[in-house]
Amino acid sequence: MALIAALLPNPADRESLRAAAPPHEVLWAESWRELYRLVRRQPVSAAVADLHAETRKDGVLRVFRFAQRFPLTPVVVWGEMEGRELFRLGKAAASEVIVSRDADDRFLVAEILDSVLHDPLAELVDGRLEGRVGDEGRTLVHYAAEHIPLHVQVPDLSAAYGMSVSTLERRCERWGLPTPGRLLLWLRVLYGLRWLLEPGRSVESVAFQLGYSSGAAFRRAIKATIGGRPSPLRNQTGLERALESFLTECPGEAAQPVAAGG
Amino acid sequence: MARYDRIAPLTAPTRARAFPAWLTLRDLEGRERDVELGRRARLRFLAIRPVRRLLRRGIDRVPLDSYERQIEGVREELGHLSARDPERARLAEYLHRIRQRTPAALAAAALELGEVAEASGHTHAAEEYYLTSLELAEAYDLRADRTRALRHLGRVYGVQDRWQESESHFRRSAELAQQAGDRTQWAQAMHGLAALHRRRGDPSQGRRILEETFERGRQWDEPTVVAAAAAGLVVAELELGNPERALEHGWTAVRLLPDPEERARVLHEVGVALTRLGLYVAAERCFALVAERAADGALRLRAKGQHALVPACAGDADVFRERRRRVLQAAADMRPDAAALADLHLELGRGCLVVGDVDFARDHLRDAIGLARRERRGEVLPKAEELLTTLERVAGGGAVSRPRPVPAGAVAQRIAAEIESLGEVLVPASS
Repeated sequence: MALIAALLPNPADRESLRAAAPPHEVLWAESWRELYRLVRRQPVSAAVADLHAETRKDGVLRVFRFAQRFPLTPVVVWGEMEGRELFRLGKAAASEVIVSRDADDRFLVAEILDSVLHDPLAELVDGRLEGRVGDEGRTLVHYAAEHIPLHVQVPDLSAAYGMSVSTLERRCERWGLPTPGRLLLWLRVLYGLRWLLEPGRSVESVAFQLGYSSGAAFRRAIKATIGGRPSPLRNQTGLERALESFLTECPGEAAQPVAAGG
Repeated sequence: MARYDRIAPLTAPTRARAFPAWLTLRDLEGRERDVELGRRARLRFLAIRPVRRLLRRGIDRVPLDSYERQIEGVREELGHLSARDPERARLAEYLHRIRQRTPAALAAAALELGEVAEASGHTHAAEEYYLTSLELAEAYDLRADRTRALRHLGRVYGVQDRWQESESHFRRSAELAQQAGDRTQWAQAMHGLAALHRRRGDPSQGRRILEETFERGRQWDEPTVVAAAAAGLVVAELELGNPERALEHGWTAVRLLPDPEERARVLHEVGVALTRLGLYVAAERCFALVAERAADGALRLRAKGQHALVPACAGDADVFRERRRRVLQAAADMRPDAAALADLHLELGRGCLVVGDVDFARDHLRDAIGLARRERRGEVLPKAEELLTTLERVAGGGAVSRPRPVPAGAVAQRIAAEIESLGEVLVPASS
């Protein structure tokens, strides 16, 4: 499940998106400004915006500015669009379009949303663990990564796997992963660093998105994992460095001594 | 909206970074205010989306009702194109074909609509359709479609001056065709490779490839290979200034090519060779046949332009003026695409210059230059500019001298006589 921020003034369009969005949750904005605010403050995975949401404004330019501020947050543009507008939207870095004629086809809208809602960080982490951690361990990490924006905690994780926290801890040890608590800490940090690649987000807003009480708490999390402060890590190299550090704490099954029983 | 556009100066994204099928809209680059092209590009965009959807999701995973509805939505918008617009009928046919939802039908339909876009000079739209066809062919292991799509992509990349990609696509197409033992496809890929060398300014290398293909066809006793090579050699020899050899190859191709439209295309080039050889009666016969019988409107118009040019070369100014008037009327009725119109203006400008109608010549050449720049017609632009320079040099001093024909040898004379006497046999559409 993901969070989608949507700017659709037309009630019929809202209804169409509502019908197609499940299992994802939609947060409604009334203006572009509010859409920015939502994306900045909520762990939004994608935005949907009507190209003509604000009269007498260049909707394509709005999309362009959004994409500049939030380059990693896909924006799906909705509405009646001429050839020229479609062309300009491509240059403005829109991720997808839903033309008015197709808007009430919930299958089509759901497919388009799915196509932009893949979680790149979960896939990135999974890719790095491949060949190092076994399938069961990777499935756990993937599940945890996908649920970080939803503020998943260790008890949620153990409940999802139908086992107690202590059993999950033992499994993590067997699979060559950090403890569940440490794993979630790392994934929050990785998510946070990825979000910080977007110029529109601040350390404070990212901390809030990750469920921390303050920016200071997020800074402490960074210090406890990678070391140092978040600002120098606000680039692709920083994220890469963090990933490498995370991998050193995931030796995998091959590195673990064979356990006697359990 | 702001008086200036902040989006226009942005660099176009690569296909991988843009939303699906955006490439179909990229022909609008620099022509964003062209409303007619905007409508056409939008339709092409909407039309390829259902196929890309099947490709992305898998054919069986897209609900039939939803897919049909999406296609119906595009069909309802076909009215945005004029009823006489040939692309409208082709789009309707394409939408009908993709209803079948079989990989082969989808790949073939995408390839054919790409050809329509390419014929209008819209290479980015063509590229998107060809790439979609190629992806389908690769996903469903359709070897023949893959070979064809690679060749078509090679051609489009050549026009876009992406030489290396073009060459690699032609070579891959030729390899696949050879592996499959499809000699016709192999010959067509070699033909494309030769055309690429010509575009790159190395017509001799292009001719060498075609001569090898021609020889191979003879060894195999494969008429389709010989015909494809000969069809390529006509253009190569014309470009290298050997109209008699061009005529000889063209005549071979016309008699062997199975496709009437291909025959018409070669017959047009045969007409050009005959004009250069001063064999005007036979040349007129060729152009008249193509103008009357070819299915492709752009080719018909080009033939009409050449048909008008022949009397100018022969020194009959009055006939040229009358034909020019008629061909301009025909062009106004046909409303051809800009690329075909650029060719026509170039030839009429040439004719006007030869008969001394300098003002008309200037207008035609300026129109040709404007259209060629807009359409990025690399082959028309330098010719039109050269003629305009010649025109300005002689302006005030009357007409330039008529082009002196290359002396026709015995072979050329024999072929010309055959064309004059056996004209009706050549009629492409009736055979």
